Amino acid sequence: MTAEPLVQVEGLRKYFPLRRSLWRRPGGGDYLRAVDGVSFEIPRGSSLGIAGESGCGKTTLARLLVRLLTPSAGRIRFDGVDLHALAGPRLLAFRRRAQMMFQNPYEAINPRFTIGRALLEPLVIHRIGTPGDRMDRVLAALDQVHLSPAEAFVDAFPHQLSGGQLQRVGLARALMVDPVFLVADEPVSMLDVSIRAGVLNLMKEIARTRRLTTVYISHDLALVRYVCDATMIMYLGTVAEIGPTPEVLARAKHPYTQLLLAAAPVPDPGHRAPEIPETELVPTPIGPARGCPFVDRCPHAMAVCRAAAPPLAAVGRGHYAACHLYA
Amino acid sequence: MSLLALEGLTVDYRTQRGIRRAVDGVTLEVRPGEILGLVGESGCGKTTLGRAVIRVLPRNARIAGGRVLFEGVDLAALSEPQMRAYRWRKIAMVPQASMDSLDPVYRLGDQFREVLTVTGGLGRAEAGERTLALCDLVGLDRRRLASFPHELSGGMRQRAAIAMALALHPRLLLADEPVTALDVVVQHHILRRLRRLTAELDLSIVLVTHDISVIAQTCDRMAVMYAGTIAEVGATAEVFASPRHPYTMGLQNSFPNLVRPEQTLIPIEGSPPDLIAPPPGCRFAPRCPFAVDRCREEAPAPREIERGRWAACHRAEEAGELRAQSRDARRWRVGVR
Repeated sequence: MTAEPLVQVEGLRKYFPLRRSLWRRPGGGDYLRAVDGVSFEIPRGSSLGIAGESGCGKTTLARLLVRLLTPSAGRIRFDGVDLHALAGPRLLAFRRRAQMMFQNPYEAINPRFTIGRALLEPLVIHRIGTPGDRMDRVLAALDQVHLSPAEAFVDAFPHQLSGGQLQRVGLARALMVDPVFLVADEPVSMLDVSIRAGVLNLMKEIARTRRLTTVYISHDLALVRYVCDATMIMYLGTVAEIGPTPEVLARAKHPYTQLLLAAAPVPDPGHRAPEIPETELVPTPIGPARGCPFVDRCPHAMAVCRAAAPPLAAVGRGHYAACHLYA
Repeated sequence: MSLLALEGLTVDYRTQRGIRRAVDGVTLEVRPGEILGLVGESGCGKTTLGRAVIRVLPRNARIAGGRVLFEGVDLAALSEPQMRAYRWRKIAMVPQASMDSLDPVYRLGDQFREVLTVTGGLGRAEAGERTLALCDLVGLDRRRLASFPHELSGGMRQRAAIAMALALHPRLLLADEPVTALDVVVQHHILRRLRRLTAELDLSIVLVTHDISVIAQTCDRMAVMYAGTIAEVGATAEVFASPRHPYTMGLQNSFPNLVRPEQTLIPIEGSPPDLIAPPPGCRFAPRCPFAVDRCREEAPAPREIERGRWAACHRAEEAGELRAQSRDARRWRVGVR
């Protein structure tokens, strides 16, 4: 029972219809394939980092995982149950068990609510605790995210807080309902560097002590490497590579992962980044899908890469890459 | 001889609550052909500093003191018509989010032509040739000149914005977060391109960023800015290898390194001071693990600690000892209220 992963994703797709002719390309499809057939699992208590360039579908995937979006095809099983079969009280129960943290803390917290009210709201919606003890829970949550003295924050409004403090409130709000699954979409990308580390350390600590299963969406591989047990690299809606973080980032197999790693800036003037050939190519998730999505940027492209999409093949222990070099 | 020398540059903003001194007595030089990185967090004054150099400040801001010496001429003392001879022609700017600053209703080529003929005074044929040369310079496909901005990727738009800034052969380019919203591969190429331009065009660049890894990969020298003041200046390799200011040490501690993932990140607790009523003494003292009484009373003046290495810290001479201590996370829990 406990060996079963908390989240199992099978052949998940999310296509957004494009109605405006502005985007219609000759010979192209009428859909933007944001997520295009991804399968993976998230073991209980582990953290998965999902990385890739803008437009690779990572945010869409995050929203699918917490059922803010409905898939076009495929399935997500959460704790053994098909997520999209849920309705009524069972859906409400899922909404309590799965929580999300958003990129922009200034937009994620209602500016007209005090921090106290923002944190009380989920308790009221989910009927947790009694009206008498709810404020104690709010204070305890603020303490847990190191906003102290908690009493000083309860009556504050979001604009009175710094970005780092507000993102801690976002974390506290997610934790109010005692979730088992937390999806964080670029949780620190809006924060100043000196503040980021504090929020990341806090998230790591809370995930560990509460045995949370977490998903981090980020474009920053250094951050994923710091926080996540497993790493998934996405390219144009597909999984390019997935596996234990040290494996994927130290022994990257997929040419796309290798490209991202080569280009990633390193805070060390002695680091010599390799030469990367320049290309004007703009990958697009619009139009017919044939072959490997990375083929036009790939230095190893072969005839087969244009003919067929590569399956995920094992390239190490728990490490898979979708590349014909290894198929 | 420096191309640009700031001497005690001070910029004030009028706000409802009072005067906000965003840049406070900054002294800094930019040498010919170099890339100087200006790094700091949001609100530290790095963008204001860049804008003050070519005097494109918002209405409620003014240069309240100091000199901006460009090739020996104090730009801060020039009249507005005199200043126009410098903007774009001698000092050009790639402002923040400049890739979104292209006019959406004109084709790229038309926008280039307008700059070159109207501002640059070139003839039509000359302008056409120059446009093509600019495309090659920044690695933008010439066929893109027929495109509208929305048809281009973020990277291509950013290249176009850089090309536009270089249109009139400036000696100095002020680039404010030029790669911030771009994907890492595009970022890599644009930074490489900027490096190459300094050599090809005998151009100096001031690269304003919050990202120390961008500085590490691109800049010859760097200046670290905190709360309107310069904390530290030096050759990039030296500042990274042996920071003299505790704020620089803190930035290094808090920045994740893909190549060295085992290091535990240490945040700088607290937040920067309110610049309307900054604390007396060193601006960083409330967050500094090494602050002593003197730091809270007397603002440290920038001092040349070694040749070419400036730091504004009373304890800069002890930097070696402080660096060793700065790796201890417990030391940094000072700013917690």
